[in-house]
This record gives sequence, structure tokens and C-alpha cells, in this order.
Amino acid sequence: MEAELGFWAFSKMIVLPRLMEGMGVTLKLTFISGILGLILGMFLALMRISQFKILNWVSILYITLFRGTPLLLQILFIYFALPTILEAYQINMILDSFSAGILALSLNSAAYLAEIFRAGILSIHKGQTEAARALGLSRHQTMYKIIIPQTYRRIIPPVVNELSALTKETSLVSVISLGELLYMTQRLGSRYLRVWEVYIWAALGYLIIVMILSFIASRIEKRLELKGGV
Amino acid sequence: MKSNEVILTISNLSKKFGDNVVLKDISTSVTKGEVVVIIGPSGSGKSTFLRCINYLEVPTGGEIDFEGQILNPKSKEHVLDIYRSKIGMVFQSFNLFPHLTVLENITLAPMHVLKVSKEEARARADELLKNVGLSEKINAYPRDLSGGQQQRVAIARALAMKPDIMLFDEATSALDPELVGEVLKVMKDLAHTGMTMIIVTHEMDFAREVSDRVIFMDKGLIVEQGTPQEVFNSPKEKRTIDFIRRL
Repeated sequence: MEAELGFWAFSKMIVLPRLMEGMGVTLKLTFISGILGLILGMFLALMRISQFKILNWVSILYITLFRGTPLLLQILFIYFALPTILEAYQINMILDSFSAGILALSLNSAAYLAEIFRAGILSIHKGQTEAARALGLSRHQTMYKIIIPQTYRRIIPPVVNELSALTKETSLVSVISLGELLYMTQRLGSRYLRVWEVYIWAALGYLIIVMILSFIASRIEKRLELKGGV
Repeated sequence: MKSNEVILTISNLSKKFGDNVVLKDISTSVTKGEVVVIIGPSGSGKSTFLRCINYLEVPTGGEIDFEGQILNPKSKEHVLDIYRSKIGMVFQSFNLFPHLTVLENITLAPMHVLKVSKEEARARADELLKNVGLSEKINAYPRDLSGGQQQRVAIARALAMKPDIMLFDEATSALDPELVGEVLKVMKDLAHTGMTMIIVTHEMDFAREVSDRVIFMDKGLIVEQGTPQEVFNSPKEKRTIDFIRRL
């Protein structure tokens, strides 16, 4: 019966309700791993420029590892291999596909975001640190009150880039059967054997998320521009 | 304004960058209220000397006695933080914090380092801005100010910490010629209040007029020092004579 439906009727009755469900999962994946990635990325960046050598090395090792291997492999590793490894150490952890997806995506994006943050911090003129230290501000106060606030506007474009990439990369989590947007699309497509009508909506779904992200970013950029233009 | 009370004694201060010796065992002392001007050719180590005084550059050797407190290359970071908070510094490139308003630039360190209340910091900022003639710019951001105005704010920012000594590192060198005067005037006014000042400058007329003592540095050494009359009118060392003649 569905086979006879026209494009709009098919979309409205069958495709959109399921895809909305998938889009919800994609949004959750993007949002949660984005936030976690930002937090972890900030830590990694601070470790990377810390005066303690050991922290530098931990951070460098982490970033090299997560940027040097495919995300798809990381997802599969966390979902299939990690529980087995942990089991060997008597740790029983059942990782559902959603948690595994969040874990892989946030660990991965943190590595990229860390490099963006580090570049942002290093791009602030040395005179700013000197002026702050000359006033008696501690290393810590200088970083949090003077340097990091000045990086915000500079890092917004690359951070948005990374978050857009993350949005699209959530689709890789479909390999561990998590019902996000792409997974739902594939299932619908093969069930009804109507491929383009399904995929075109999925494409639109990703496009909308990325556009919303860019819109929010440009608003933040404008607001920061009003405040001193840095 | 000069008294006999010594507040800063520098003994055998040296600084190397790798194999490059920039300062060679410099010793001198500064009394309360004294205005010391350091002159010398580019690369003579004047700026490095100034930056070593407040440990923005950590010296390679030597000792600083500031009001009885001893600082050396082994001093702990929190000791240096407190020390720096008592020494104001004004930079060639102003280095105002561009993300903060003029008011916030001035009140930040008093509030976070000296733990002064917001109201008190604000009142002090008002007064300092009045002194440097920039009351109407209190809510402006640095990018809206001219170079001369930025440097006056930077001076006010340093003074907000109620420092015991002010260091000026070529404070007018980055300014357009027509803006130099307004900054020098603020510095002159400050000298007249009895502030202890160490000034690295190329403004010789200013040095002559304001300083109690002129130090001539070359190749990492103090070659000659004395009153402005002595150094400018009857220098003894050949290197000083050559430098003064070329002015």
C-alpha cells in the first residue's frame, strides 16, 4: 500500500515520524559529546601548555592517538573491544550503543578541540601575559582572567567547524546499531525500497543542525564584537 | 623629593640568554623618591635590566633587596607575585587588556590581587583617571583610545596597585610624535608626587629635566652614572661621550 503513496504523502506518513526520532538521537549525541568534548578539550589544552612535563606528554599522547586513528575504528573499539579488555581486569561494564557512541565522539572531538584551544591561547600576544604578571596576577589568574577570555572570538570559527564535523560524524555511530538519523534512514530505505525519498530528508536533517549551529555561533561572535572587539 | 632611605638594592645582577650575556654583574641602589633614568644605545641591555628588576625576566644570577626582602633566581613564584604587585610597570606597547573597559583594566588587579572591594577599587580608578585626564573614557574599550590615551590608562592601571616603585620601559617609543607630550606630562606629574621611578627612555630633554640620576648603559654594563648635569654636560667615559655627542 505504501508503495503507491506519492512523495509528500510517503514522507509525511512514514519517513518524517521515524526520522524525527533519529534526529532526536543525533541531536542528543551531538549536544552531549560536544559539551563533553569542549570540557575535556580545554583540560587537554591546558595540560599541553602546562609547565609540568608529564602533563604535556599525556596530552600529546592522547591527541596523537585520537587524531591518528579513524573515528570509525574508535567507535568499534569502544563498543566491542573495551568491554572485553575490562572483563580481563574483572571489571564488568556493559556499554550500550548510546553510551559507547557518546564516549567515542567526545573523546575524539576533545583531541581536535584541544588543538584549537591551544592555538587560541598561544595566539594571544606575550605582552598580555607580561602586563598581567607585572600587576601581580598569578599564572593561574593571568590564564583565566586575561588570556582565555581573549581567545573566545578567535576560536569560535574553528570550534564551530569542529562541532559541525562532529554533527556529521555522529552518523558513524550507525555501525553499532544506534538509532540515530542515518541508521533510521538506512532502515527505512531498505524496508520500503524507496531510497532517494528517504535520504534526501536525512541530508536535510543534518543540514538544519549545522545551520542552526552556525547561526548561534555568529550571534555569539557579534555579541563578543560589541565587547571590546577581541 | 629624594630621600636617603634606600628601597631597592641590586647586587651583581646578571642575565644570559643561552651564551649571549646581556647583563654583566650590575649593582646599584635606588632611594625612596628617586627618579632614575637609564639611557644607552639599542641592545645595551636597558630593557632587560628593567625587566629583570621585576622578574619578568628571571635573572641568571645576583640578588635584589627590596625593602628588606631578598629576591634571587631561586625565589618561589608566589613570593615573586607579591613582589611584582608592589612594582608598577609601564610597557612600550601599553599592553592594556583589550577585552576589558578602561575601568575594568584599572580595577582588575586591585580586586583580585589586593582583594580590595569593588567600590574602593572604583573610587581609586576614578581618582587616577582624573589625574591622567581621562575621566570621560572610563567605560571605553582600549581600541577606542589613541596610543597616548592608552598609555595614560596603563600608567593609571599600574598606579592602582599603589606600587612603591614604577618602572617605565620606553613608554613613549611607540607613540606618534604629537602624543608623546601628554604621556611625558603624566610621568612628570608623577615624579613630582615623590614616586620612585626607574625610566628607560630615549627622550633626553625629559631625562635632563626630571631625573635625579642618569645611568648610561652599554653592552650589559653600567658605564657611567651621575646627575643629569654630570652625564649630559661633562661625561667622563669615552663611550658616554660618543653616545651623548651623537644625540
